[in-house]
Amino acid sequence: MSKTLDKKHPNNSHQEEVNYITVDYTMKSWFITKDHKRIGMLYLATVLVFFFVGSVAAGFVRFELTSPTGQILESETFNRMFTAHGVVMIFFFLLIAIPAVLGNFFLPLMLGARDLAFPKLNLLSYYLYLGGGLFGVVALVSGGVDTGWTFYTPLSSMYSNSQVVLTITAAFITGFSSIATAVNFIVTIHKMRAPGLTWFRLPLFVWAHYATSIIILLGTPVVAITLALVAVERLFHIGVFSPEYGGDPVLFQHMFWFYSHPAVYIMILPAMGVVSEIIACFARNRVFGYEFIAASSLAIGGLGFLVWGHHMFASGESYFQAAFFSLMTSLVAIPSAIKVFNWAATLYKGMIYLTTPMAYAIGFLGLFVIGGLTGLYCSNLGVDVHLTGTYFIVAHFHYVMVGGTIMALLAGIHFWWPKMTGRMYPEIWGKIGMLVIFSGFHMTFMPQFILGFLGMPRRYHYYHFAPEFQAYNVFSTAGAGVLAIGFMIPVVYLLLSLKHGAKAPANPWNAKGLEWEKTDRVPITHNFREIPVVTEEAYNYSIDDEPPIEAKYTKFGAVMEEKS
Amino acid sequence: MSNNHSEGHSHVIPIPVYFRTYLQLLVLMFLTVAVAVLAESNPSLREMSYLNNFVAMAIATTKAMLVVWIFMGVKYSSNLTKFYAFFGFVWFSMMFLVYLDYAFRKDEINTGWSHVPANALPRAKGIPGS
Amino acid sequence: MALEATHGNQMNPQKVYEQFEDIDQQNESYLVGMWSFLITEIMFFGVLIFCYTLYRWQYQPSFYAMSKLLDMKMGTINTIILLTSSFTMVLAVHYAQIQRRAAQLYALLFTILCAFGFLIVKYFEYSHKFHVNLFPNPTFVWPALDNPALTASVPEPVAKMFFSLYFAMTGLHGIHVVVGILLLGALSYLVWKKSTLVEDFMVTEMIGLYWHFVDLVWIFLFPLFYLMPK
Repeated sequence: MSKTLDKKHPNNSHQEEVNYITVDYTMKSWFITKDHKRIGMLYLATVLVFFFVGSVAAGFVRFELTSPTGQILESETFNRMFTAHGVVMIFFFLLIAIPAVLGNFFLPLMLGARDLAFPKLNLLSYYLYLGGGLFGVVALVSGGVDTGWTFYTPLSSMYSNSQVVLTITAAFITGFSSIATAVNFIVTIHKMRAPGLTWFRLPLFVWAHYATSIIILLGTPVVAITLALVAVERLFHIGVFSPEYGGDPVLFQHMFWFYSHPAVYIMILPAMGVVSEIIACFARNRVFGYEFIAASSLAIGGLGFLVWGHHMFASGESYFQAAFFSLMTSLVAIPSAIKVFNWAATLYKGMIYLTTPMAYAIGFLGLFVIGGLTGLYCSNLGVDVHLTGTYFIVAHFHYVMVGGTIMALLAGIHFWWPKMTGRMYPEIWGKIGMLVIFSGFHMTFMPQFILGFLGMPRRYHYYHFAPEFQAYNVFSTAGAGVLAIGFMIPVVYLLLSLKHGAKAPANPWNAKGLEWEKTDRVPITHNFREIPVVTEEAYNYSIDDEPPIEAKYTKFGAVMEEKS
Repeated sequence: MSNNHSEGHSHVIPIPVYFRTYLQLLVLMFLTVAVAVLAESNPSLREMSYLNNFVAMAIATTKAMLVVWIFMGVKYSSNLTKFYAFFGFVWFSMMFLVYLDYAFRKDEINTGWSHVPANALPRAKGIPGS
Repeated sequence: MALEATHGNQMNPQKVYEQFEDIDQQNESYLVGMWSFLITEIMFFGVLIFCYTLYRWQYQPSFYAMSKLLDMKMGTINTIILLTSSFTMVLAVHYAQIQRRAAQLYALLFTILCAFGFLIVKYFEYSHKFHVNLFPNPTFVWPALDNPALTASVPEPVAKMFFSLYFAMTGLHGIHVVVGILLLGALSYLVWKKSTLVEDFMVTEMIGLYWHFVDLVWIFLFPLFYLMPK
């Protein structure tokens, strides 16, 4: 990575440079593309649609809860709304967002590969995702589901009178999309690294995606077959979990959480990878304890499979197992804490540039620490009995999964936007957007901690038994409004920047890494003009490095002066 | 990256090797069937027929190993492929942690799942609660 | 980079796709990719096998009586059929490697024949179960019509559980056999048409791995359902 930057592309030239976007403008070329970058962009557009759908459902839920007597929605409708929110956000947004968008786009670039190992499989995974999403949308418009995203039996298999089978089909198909992506990532990371790119020179983003892919591989089929068993019970009366047949509904919960707990690591590990990249870049410091962060990714992946029982402390599992899982859950805090402390140590004595991606990354730390620490309360057996099924849990997992993943997704999108599109976003608006989202998030979910601690159960559509909860709920709903405005801001300015944004240089942040140093301003179809040779460690930053480009160059319409 | 795969194409394994494996598989299969029939039919062995479980599973595992090792060519492939070939089987055993739950249910106040009276289980496919 | 590079070995023209450096890397990528996919298949069947072990552990005497209702002869025949098909599948891979297309085609066709044979035996088994009303839906009749003495001691819910597991596991396996037939059929068609797509023996090898996995699952299902009474 010691070669000089590629500066042969003048910023203002009218002749069009050839890159992965300009190579072909037809719609067809996008929809049958095998280019991992284009597929990443397709994923980006699609996950945003699902994010919008899920947000609307969340809006209904929050709106209903402003009144203690639940006057806006019927209780049935409310159940369908929070289920729609959960299913769409988890299966079609959070699990997909970072691996399929940023992972797809940047993994081959960081590895010095021309493409992922199986480009056709990659395209297939996108269409599987789209097909699964289509089933999901059909399920929603044809009545929705009222079981909650967890599909607990026997509610889902015997009693629920809603579109359980359709929704399960959607989740099943989307699961196979994830598996295809994971297979692709694993093979690519193992077999397609550039010469000289040894395992301990890999960016931490790659390590995180490796761990994520392993989890997807081992976990997704388990939930797929478990949900399929619920579907065949509804359709054919083949009831493996049916108490009517002497089966145990808790077994469903075991099998469901065997995947669905590791699934939260599918959401958070790639986020951690993104944050590692950004913090190292804008602290101009090598990541402190690189090996430990890399190993902690794998440790989280492994330990994450041994903690599922903590979702069932109050479901009737044996005390012995509950104690075991309580212990294992507390242990997961160790690799997570290793990461957080190492990021903090990376910031220490670094040259910190508080750009928008960095602001989001720091925001990620704030949300993740709150979410992680409250997770420790929940891992405690005695405390959890009080907290299970309350808004405390809701707030906890929103802080970890949603706060973590969305902050990191936005951080990553801002960080790599110049590489993905060749345009700069307006820095000032970026920071405003970050502040609004960050404060909106706290406004929404901080009151829910208090609500949950006071005993407000989740999934209730009224609370007339405790009208004193109203103030918190109204505050939370107001926060959701702020959050909604906050999400609008980046969407608007990022879209505008496609047309009006200043043209980005090849490496606006002076960041290290193959994706910044060895590619064109916007990468060409096969990424590199020649396969790079890596001769140094990752994150070879020093505080004397050149700063990121100044904010004045990132306004709309700004024109960069050619440096040197 | 394991690149000590010297020649460009993978090993062409002679047919006799495959045929021998096929015969071994068939022999093992007849063995396991014979043991099962014997355990079932012979009253003097009835007491020990639980051993049949071990025999059957041991033979099944051996057969599976033969298929993976020879037929699926793992024997002739790189260490990386070997790792991925066995990783799944190893990780599958993780699922048996669930027995931590069921093995200790008998110590619980409410032993749960096997003692639900049948009349407590209405099967209402249509309207909830009906 | 060599977009159209062919392998140096004259006998074995393998196209190297543009994202790969050389044929070794490509072949190994295929293998690792296929095996990591098979890991998901292991976990897929693993859940069902795990559920089976749990309920068997819970209801051992009943499961003992129930397994008598399954026909060990049919199971044995099916095992022989699948082992044979696995053998012909490796022959197909072998002939693909040494470029003997006709022999490869025959081996593939024989494999497909075996697969159909398996399904036919399975059809007889299933239709018998349906005939005596052992499918666990409201038509279920208990004690079993064809062996009431043996099954009188087994509670009806457990009997339904046993047949739920039986149909779920063998059904999922059957679906895999059907998918295998489709894959093998497509492959045979391409070999017959001398398509350039299948000049690379790795295609046959990948489908072979899948087919062996189907065999592998049956190797475990056979003793679990037919052979392990106690």
